[in-house]
Amino acid sequence: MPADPVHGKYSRVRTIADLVRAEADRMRRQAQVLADMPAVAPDAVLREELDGHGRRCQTVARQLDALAATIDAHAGAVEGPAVRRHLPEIAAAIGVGAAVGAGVYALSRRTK
Amino acid sequence: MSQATGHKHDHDVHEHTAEEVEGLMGLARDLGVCAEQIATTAARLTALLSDPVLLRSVAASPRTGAKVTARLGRAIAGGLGCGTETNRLGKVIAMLTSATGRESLPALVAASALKTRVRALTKLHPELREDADLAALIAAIEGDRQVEAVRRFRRLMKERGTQQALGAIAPVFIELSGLIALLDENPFNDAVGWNFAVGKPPTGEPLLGVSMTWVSAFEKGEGSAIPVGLPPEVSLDDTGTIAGHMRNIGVLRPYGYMLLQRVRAGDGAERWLLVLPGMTSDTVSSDSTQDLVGAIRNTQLTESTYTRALRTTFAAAGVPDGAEIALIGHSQGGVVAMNIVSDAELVERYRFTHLVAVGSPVDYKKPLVADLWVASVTNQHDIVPALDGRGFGAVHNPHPDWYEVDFADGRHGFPACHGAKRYAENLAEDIPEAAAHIDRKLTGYRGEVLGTAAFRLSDK
Repeated sequence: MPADPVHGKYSRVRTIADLVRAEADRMRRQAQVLADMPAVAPDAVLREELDGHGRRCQTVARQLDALAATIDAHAGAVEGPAVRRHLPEIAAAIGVGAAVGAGVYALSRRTK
Repeated sequence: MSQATGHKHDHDVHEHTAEEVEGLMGLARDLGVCAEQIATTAARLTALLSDPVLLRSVAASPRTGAKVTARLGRAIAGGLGCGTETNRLGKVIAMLTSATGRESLPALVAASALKTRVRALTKLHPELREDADLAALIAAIEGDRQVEAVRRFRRLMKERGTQQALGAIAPVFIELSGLIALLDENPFNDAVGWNFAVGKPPTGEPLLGVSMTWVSAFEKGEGSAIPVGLPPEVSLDDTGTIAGHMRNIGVLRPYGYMLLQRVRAGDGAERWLLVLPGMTSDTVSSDSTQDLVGAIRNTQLTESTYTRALRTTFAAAGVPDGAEIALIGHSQGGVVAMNIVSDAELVERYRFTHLVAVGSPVDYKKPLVADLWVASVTNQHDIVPALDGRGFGAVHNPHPDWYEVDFADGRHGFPACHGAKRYAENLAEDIPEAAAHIDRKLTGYRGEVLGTAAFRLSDK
C-alpha cells in the first residue's frame, strides 16, 4: 500500500500519546508521594484528605493511560488510508444517497 | 511574652514544639511541590485541547478523534482540573468546573499545604486553637463553609472590635486568605491562593482576584519631595538607634514627612540617612504619595511617585555622588526603600550600604546592591508585612541572607501593632537584643547629626 500523504503531517500525534503517558507516570509518582505523607500528617482529618488526593491522582493516572491508548489508536487511524478513516462517512453518504434515490424512483413510478 | 528571633521559624519555643513545627512546615513545603507537579500535568493536558496538530488530526479522522476529545475532556473536567497557571481555554474550563463546586486537584493539594501551615502556626500560637471562636472560624474556612466563616468573623468583630479580631487572626491571615481564594467558587482569585501556597508573590487580592497592577495604575504624577521646616512642637530623637528612628517616624506621622540626615560617625566619616515613613494619608487615593494606591503600587512594582520624587531629592539636598547612604523605612517606607535599591540609576550614583524595613511587606523585593545589609522587623500580629503574600507561616525564604526579626508581643490589636511608635516600643522593650544587633550594624550612621532636612512628599 502506498504511504498515506498525511503520515508526516500527523506524526506528532504519536508524540502526544507519549507525552500523555509521561504525565500518567508523573501522576503515579505524586500518588506515591501523597501515599507516604499521611505518616507525618498531624491528624486524622488531614490524613484522610491526603489519602483522598492520592486516590484521585491514581484515578487520573488511569484516565491518562486510557487516553494515551486512545490517542495511539487515533494516530493509527490518521496514518491509515483516507478511505478507511472516512469509511463511516462514506457509508453514511452511500446510505443516504441510496435512500434518496429509492425515494425519487418510487415517486417517479407513482406519478407515471 | 515576647518572642524575638534572628530568623523566621526559629522561635523561642519549647524544643519539642519547634521540632513539630519544623516537621509540619516540611510537610507543607512537600505538598506545595506536589501541587506544582500536578499543576504541570494539568496545564499540559489543557494545552492539548487547543493543540493545532491534534485538532487537525481530529478533523482528519472524526470518529477516533471524537474518542480522544471525550477522554481528554473527562480527564480534565472529571478528575484533574486545569490548574491555575493555564491558558485562556483552561480558564474557561476552570470557570465551568468550579461552578459545579468541583475544585481542581492542584488547588486541593495546595489547600492541604495551607491547612498544614495553619496547624504548624497554631502550635506556635496556641491561642488560635484554644479560643473557641477563632478555632471555629478556622474550621469553617478550612471546611469551605464560606457563609458560616463570614458569619463567625462578623460576630468576632462585633464582640471584640475590628482591631482585636484582625490582630487575633493575623498569624494565619495569609493561610486563611489563601484557603478562601482556592476553595471558593470564584476561579479568578485561585491564582492568589496558589501563589500563597507555593511561595510566589500574589498578583491580585484574595477575595475577588482584582489585579494589583490594575489598581496600581490609579497612581499618576511625577512625584516631588518639597523641603519643609520641622514644626516647632516636634522634637526628634537623635540617638541614631533603630528604635529612635521609629520614634521619629511616629512623631512625624501627622505630617508624613521624610527625613534626610547627614551624620558624622565615630570613624569621622560623613554618611547619609534617609528615614522613610509609611502610609500617612487615610484616603484610598490622594495627592500624597503615601495613600493606599501608592502603597499597593510600591508593593507590586519598583517605581512610583514616591520613588520618582526621591530620584532628584538626593542631588537637590546636596548628597554627593558616591555618598554612603542607609535607608530606614516603616511600612510603605520600607517597600519604597527596597524600590530605591532596585533603581539602576540611583544604585549607580550612590552607595547604599544598609536597609532596615520595619513592618513592611518586602519579602519578594530584589535589591540590585549585592553587598547591601538588610534587616526586616515584623510583628506576627501585624497584617501589613504579610500583604506581599509571605506571612509568618511561609515555608519558602527568598532571602536567607537577610536579618529577619519576627516577634509577638502579646498585644494583638491591629492596626495598633503596626504603628511606628508601637514598633519603637517593641524594639526597646520586647526585642532589645535584635534592636542592639541592628544598632551595631548601623554604627557607621550613628554619631553627630550635622543636618536634618524634612520633605513633604506629593504625587505631583
